[in-house]
Amino acid sequence: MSVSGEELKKLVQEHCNCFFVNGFNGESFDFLQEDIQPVLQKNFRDVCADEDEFSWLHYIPEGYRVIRDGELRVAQSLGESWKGSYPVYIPKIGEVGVLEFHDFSKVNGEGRHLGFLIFEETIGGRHYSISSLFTSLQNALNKSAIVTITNYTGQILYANNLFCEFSGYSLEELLGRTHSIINSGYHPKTFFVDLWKTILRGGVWRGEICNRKKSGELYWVDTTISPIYNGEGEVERFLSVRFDITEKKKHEEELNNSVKFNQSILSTMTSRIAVLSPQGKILFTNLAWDNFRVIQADEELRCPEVGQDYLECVGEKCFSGFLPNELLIGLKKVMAHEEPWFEMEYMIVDKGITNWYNFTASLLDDGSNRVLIKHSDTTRRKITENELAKSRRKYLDLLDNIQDAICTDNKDGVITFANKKFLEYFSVSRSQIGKISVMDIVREDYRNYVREIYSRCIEGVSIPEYIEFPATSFGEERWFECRTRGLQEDGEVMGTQSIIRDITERKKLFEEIESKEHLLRLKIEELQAKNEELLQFSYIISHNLRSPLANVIGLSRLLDNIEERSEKSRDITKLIATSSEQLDEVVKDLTKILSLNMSPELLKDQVDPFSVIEKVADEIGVRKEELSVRDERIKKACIKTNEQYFLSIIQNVLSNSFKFRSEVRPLKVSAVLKDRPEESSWEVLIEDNGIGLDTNKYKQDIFGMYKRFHHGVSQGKGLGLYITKKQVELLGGSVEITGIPDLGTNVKLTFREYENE
Amino acid sequence: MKTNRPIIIIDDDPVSIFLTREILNSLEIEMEVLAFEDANRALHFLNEKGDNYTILLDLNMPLMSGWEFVNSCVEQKLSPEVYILSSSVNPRDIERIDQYDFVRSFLSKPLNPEMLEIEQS
Repeated sequence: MSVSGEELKKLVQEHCNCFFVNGFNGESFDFLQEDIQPVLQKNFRDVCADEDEFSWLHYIPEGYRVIRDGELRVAQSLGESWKGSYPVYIPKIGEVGVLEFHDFSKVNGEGRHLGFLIFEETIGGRHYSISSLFTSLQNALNKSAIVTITNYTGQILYANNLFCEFSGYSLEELLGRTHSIINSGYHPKTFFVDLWKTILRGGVWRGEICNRKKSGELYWVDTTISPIYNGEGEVERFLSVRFDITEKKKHEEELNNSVKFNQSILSTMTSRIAVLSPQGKILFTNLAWDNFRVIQADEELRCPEVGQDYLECVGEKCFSGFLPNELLIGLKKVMAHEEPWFEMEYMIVDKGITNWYNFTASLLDDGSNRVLIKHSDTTRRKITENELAKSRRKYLDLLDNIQDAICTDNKDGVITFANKKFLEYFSVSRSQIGKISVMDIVREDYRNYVREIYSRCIEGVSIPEYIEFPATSFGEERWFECRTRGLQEDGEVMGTQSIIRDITERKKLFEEIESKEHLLRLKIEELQAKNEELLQFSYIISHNLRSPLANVIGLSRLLDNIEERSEKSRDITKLIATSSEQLDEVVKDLTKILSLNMSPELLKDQVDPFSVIEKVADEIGVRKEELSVRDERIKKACIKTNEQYFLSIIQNVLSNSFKFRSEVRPLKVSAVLKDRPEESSWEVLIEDNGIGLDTNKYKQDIFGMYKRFHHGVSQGKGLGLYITKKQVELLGGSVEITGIPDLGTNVKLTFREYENE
Repeated sequence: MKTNRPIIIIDDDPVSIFLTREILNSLEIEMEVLAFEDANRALHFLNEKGDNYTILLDLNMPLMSGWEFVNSCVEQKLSPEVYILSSSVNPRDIERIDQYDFVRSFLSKPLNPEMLEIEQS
């Protein structure tokens, strides 16, 4: 103990009414002034005897004890002298004064310091209550607030648990450091300069600070910093109390953003928007007003300025006829709360161009009784609407002028639209549309059928359905054809569309044609039967004619064979035989002609033309050396024709060649077969070197009936070529004959039918 | 018409029968020649004597026609050798001969010796 007793006495007299000395940990009393004994309720001896247990620190409230520890540690780490003062609290008495510590470790080098207890007996009672309030405040504060205490230079002496929690730093890490450890960099330097200026002046600073946690995360605190004075009225330390407002900040930011967002929307809107106070003063206008200028008759609908009376502005325009009066009336009603909302459309003619606007006034629903005004340019919409209305009128007009009745029905079958023709056809008035259904028009016994078709359309069958039904029209029953299909909207059937046509006349015509056709068929059948009858009759007649003729021929031949007769009688018998034979030929030919046109199956046989030609030639008497045949066909396809006709044709042609052969040269007949596949035809060419049919001379008559061209030679009756031509034509072919007298005759038979194998 | 069989003429016309007989006689071949004016009777005859005959058959006859006679032969399982000898020019009659095995050919009246020769060869 290097401080002398005198010195100490002097110190005590100057500073306080008692003092003591102890070690850094406050564990022992080296010296305790007499006066303190009654206060501590222990006499010096007691205290000294109990020195291990007793520490003056017991008399400092816990919070200050912590501060004192912090201050001591900061001072020691810096190697500075330390001086601190703390309230002293004594049970049952309360706060009795301020204990000042002076670090004399530097002075006496023994690591001790002096404690001065400034004992203020007179104010004891008051101090007691403040201290207990302080204690409870401290407790409450520690639970809810983030608290730090710093020294004058801002070094942290104390931080409560919440601070550690929020910042993410431990107390050890924080002590002695300044708050820059949690500086987020969000605030500008001037922000902190202002803060320091305030607190160093002794003022209380309050503000919102953004801090950074050890993890890097930011958090916002509402901060109050107040200086703590020492006993001499000097600012010694600072107490910082903070509340977490991170959430609030977030909300604020969101709100801010949304306000900014709304404002940006309002500014980009083409509608002119204004907000009016309940009294009608303009509070807000958006940018659209600036871009709006209409000048008409020196009148300008200018941007009303904030602060102006909107009613006055609009009133002027209304009275001058620039805006319709109804607008002002409607607006007044909204402002008087008579109507919550008003809307009207008005037009302004600007330089000959009509513009349309939509005006709305409505009370804002935030209870402020403010009014929102909106002018929107609807010119384009109006034009479109007009165009639509025009085209709709055109379209309806078109539908009304159509000769068919048209209607649409909803899903329940109720008619939703009908054109003029529909109303006329079925005597329906316009007022009935929306009430009646197509079924009401259809004749009763057809309704189920029509209903079935309609429901099929609604089920989504996309193909139009055709229905025919009878209905009363113009006072009589008429027939209608109805073409119905489902009406779709977004892939869903919404109803049906029907086009109805009066088919009464058509139906009548059809019936008439049908009955006529039927009659015709009967007639044809009748005629066919009659034809057949006639044919059979012709055979019977020819048979009946031929039977006696055959007898006459036979008998005359018999007579001819009887030897004992005169030459004359022989001649006569011969003539009878010849005449009878000719008559027989006529009967046969006539029957053949009659039976032509009546063969039902003409092309049924597969025919080998060469074998027919050779067989016929042989029968007629043409010798083998007189006939030459040549096949010049490209495609040797099978030929189908009516064999009997073909035979008859060849017979006629070859017998002519034989009959009309030249007497001065031997007969030569050539038959050539050709084909033309591209034309589906084939030909038979028969050439002879006979006396020659003069085709130049008889052009017109070659194929006529009862035509003969060779007097001396011909024994025929002039029917051969007529029959040949008929038969060739019946086979779908044609015949050409060219002949030159004394040279020969060429016959070309062309047949169209040609069947490929 | 090369045949050893006896010949039956069926024709309702006696003149025609006469002519046919004469022509057959003119061939100077010895043969038995019978004639019926009624086909029904001829059928009875065949039933009695058997069908080993050559028949010259007319078609258009009262009571039983030539084709009815042929059909009856089929029904009664008789198959004589038949030559149609008719003045018919109806193609149906000519076509119809193909339907029967025992009907050999169609001879058109009047019959002449050459026709018979052709058939004989």
